Amino acid sequence: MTAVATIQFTGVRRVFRGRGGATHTALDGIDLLVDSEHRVGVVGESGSGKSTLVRLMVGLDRPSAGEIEWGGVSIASMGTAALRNFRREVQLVAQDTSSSFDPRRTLRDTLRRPCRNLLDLDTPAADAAIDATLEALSLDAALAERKPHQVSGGQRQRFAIARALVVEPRIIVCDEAVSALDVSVQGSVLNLLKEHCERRGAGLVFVSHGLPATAFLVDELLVMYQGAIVERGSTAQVLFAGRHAYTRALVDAYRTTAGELTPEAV
Amino acid sequence: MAGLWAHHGWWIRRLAMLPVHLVLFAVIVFFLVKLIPGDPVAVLSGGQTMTPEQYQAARAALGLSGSLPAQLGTFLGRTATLDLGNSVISGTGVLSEMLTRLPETVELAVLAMVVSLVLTLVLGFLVMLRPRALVSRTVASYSRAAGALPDFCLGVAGIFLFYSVLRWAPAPIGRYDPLLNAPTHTTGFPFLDALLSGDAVLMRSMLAHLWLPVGVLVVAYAPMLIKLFIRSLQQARDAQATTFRIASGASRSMVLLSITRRALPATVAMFGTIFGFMVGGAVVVEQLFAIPGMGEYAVQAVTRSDFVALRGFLLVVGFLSLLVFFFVDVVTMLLDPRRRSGAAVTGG
Repeated sequence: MTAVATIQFTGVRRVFRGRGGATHTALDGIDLLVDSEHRVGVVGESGSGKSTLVRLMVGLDRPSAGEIEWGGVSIASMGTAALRNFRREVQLVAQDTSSSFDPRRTLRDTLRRPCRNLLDLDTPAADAAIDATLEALSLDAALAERKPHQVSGGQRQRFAIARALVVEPRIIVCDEAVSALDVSVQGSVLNLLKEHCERRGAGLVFVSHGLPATAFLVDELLVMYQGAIVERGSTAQVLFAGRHAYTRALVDAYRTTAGELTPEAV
Repeated sequence: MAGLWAHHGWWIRRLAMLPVHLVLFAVIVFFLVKLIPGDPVAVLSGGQTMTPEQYQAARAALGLSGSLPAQLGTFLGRTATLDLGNSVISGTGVLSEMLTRLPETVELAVLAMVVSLVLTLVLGFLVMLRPRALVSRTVASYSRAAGALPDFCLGVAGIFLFYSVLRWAPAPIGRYDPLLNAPTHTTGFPFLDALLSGDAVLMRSMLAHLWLPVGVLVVAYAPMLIKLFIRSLQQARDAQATTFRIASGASRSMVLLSITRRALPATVAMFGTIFGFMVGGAVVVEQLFAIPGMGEYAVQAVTRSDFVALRGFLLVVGFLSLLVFFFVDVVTMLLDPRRRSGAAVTGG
């Protein structure tokens, strides 16, 4: 059994500078540990810093202050080889799949890229890995020969998940990965993610607006508000014994719009 | 056959639209020119009295006899056979005149387009890769002022500054020193002909005379292109597609190439529009710098109420723009298949 893979945030702050020297602090004082053995949910309103957290977590952005480490090594100081290894182990699934695939290429072509770049697979080996992943995600392999605009939104979202899973990452980071899908498709995609993480022993960071979807999937919940983590704990603890006013407001808002949230349902 | 159509139908459909656009444009030109007040036959006769028979014969010769639909039919029929008529004033064939002058104007516009394109690429990448550098911030501010200064004002200011004050440019009279011989006619494009003939003195004179008018066109119109390219590059850089190119382990150069490719369709589309502006701008700039070309011909046609010449000018410039738009559309659709008409899209 390989060692537990970890991403450690220590005192992370991210400040964006606008025109005329104006600054916006998107994240402040973030201390966080995610690993390949747990599924963590991140909830919070728009502008609370969730997407910035995701970009930092997958190494697409650098913190203005603080440190983000992968297995004890700072991501900012990684060389090409170490960064490549990190990208193989940490993969991202995003919300807007219509713009994340190359419209000129077939879905299979797009899925071959991470196989070639991160796993050094030749085309037949990449195709075999792709077919195995598609089968696990209940996707018809024939769909992979189509271009992204020639499949439905739900199918495209599964291909986005397949793109992340095909390199068998240790940690999967999902940023609003099911928010654009209708409820029935959301359910099947969530099940697929959960099954994959349990079967392969991968960790999950699931960032979402949707409280029930997140609660269904994760063991631990983080609540973000104005760039800070204001609440963290087991899913049941955060939902039913939340101490921060924003957490209680979030749970109440869900109750008034979608009905009772009971420990049994969770 | 069905497979061939599925692969090539998108550009064949676009090509099939070209004659439709041309006919529509010709109809619009016909009615626009009809709005010009005055009797063309009176202009043609120069005020001399004519018998009713002579008057009717002159109207028939100009395609003005019969009802309006009949006149339109005559006009479209003649245009289809490339018969644009003869100038009411000079009596020379409009098409042959256009074919002589068009390359001169197009060359000016193309030179300005080439310079604009190089500037756009260099400055666009500079702003994207070094956004905090002083040069980048200056370029970004300049491009935001796109279109604020009309070409006419820039031309006058340029002549005042670079000819009258600094003496960096020769007198704004023509394309080259009037004492030099014209280049040997090979292609009809004067600069290209000078280049082909290897006449270094003529080339130098042309460069000295052309840098300012070309510069005026570039300063007036390139900012629109630069602004759009910078915005497209920034959007492509921040897009999900780039995120996933990086996440899937692509090298920096591959990521940069992918960003550029995705920024290009919008820029190429704007390129076509700017080319239309450049041809229009060249017409104005030709007047300011006394460069013979379409501009001189068009202005003379308007001031002398030469409706045949004006109609011919509009048709040729319009047809040229429609052709450029056609090529721009095809290139854009090549770069981004989602822009192709009839592209199979499944929602959900």
